Amino acid sequence: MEITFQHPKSSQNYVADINPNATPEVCLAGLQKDSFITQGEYELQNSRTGHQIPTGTALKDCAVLHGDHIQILEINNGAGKCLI
Amino acid sequence: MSTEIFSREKAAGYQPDILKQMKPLVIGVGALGQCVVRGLAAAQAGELYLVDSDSFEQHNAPRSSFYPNSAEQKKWGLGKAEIVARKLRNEISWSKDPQIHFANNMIQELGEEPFRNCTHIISAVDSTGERGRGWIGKLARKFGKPLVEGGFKAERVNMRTLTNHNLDVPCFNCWENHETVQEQFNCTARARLSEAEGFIPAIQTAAAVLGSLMVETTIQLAHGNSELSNTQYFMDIRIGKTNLMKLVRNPKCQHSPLPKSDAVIKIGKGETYKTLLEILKGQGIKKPQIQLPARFVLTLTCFECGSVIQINEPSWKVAKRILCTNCGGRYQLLKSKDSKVLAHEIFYELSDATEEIHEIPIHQVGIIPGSLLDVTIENQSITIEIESDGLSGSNLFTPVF
Repeated sequence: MEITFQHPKSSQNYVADINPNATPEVCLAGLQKDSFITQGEYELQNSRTGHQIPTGTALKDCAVLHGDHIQILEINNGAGKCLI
Repeated sequence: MSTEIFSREKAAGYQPDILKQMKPLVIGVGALGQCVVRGLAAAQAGELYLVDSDSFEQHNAPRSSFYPNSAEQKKWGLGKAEIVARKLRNEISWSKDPQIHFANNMIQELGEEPFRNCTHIISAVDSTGERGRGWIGKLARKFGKPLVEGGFKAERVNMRTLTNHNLDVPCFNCWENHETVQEQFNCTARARLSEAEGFIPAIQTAAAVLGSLMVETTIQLAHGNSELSNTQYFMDIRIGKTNLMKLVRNPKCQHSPLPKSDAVIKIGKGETYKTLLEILKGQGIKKPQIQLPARFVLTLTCFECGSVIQINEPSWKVAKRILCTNCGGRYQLLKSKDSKVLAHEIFYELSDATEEIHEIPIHQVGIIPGSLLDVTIENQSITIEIESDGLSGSNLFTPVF
């Protein structure tokens, strides 16, 4: 199915043909391999429903449909400490 | 319009009676936590519990409005929790509320009591897994307390709000990847990872925006408003981009109902695990399998010299120490997956058979009085409450007047 991934920081999109059984991990690995996003911790959100697409769960089991847009969201774990 | 003290807040929908009943537990009072406690104190929450084991360092100052001057450093030292608590008390000198309490401890050292006694949990920590977020998330779920947790990097902030009010809502650990966080034993390793990714400093403005958002969310939860319940909110404060994501529950994640103690025992934190077993036997609980609150690390292998090092500490404490007593080496981040793997001897639960632990004091194993222990006896699970010994848990908080 055709899915449009929305970049976490810019308005760029990445259109891909995705197997409905693919999980967020598989999608993110592909997007990183193609340098659409950098290494980091991300969550995926179905833009149509507003729901999280949890890790380890197939897209088809999260009501993701052909033509859907998926927002990539970056997780940041800092609380103010500079780590170096 | 009235000039009464809460007139504006009442007009904005705040109810002073509800605020007065709030007893938030704020874990982490760095850049983010300081913004949170300032907001909660100004809003006149009834009580405020601050926990942080860290000390101020000079480079914290531009992100810390509570950074102590030299006279304050001489008077109070550099412990973050104490300084923030004392300076906050002075800042809110126009009111007796909130009653401010602080503990210069790691949150794990306080056991479960602070989680049981508070009304809301606010997580403003840097660390993940059993060292930080994972631990806080697990106990918030266990005691059904609302959790507001935030994180940021440079200009990008995110906040998760979990109500934990029943078994059908998502919890912090629903989708956590435990395999990833378990590897992060050492803060040096984390720092090196960060260095490899490129140094991005935390900024005060992001902390202030996120802190205010977390305060308002906590206040709204107290008022029964649930617009942000069980969601994760993302914002880039430089470009104004925001996203609100609805979190979903993992059907495989076990959400147990609120624990009820089947038996209560009394034991001091300095008494050994062997004594704990004897007390349990005295109550007819034989051959118990005691689930530890966190993994207990008996030994680790130094990456630098290969020595096996006796650790005898819970995993959350390991990151704070120099690992190798032989060469002084630290756990290093490995460059490739083919390199050596950190070897360790770790216990997830204890029984009669774990004799190497028998002479270790229970608090060193991570069992803190005032907590509830999950115990299995012949395939039957029971909950045992360890009575507070008056020295551990919430007793480690110091009130500030």
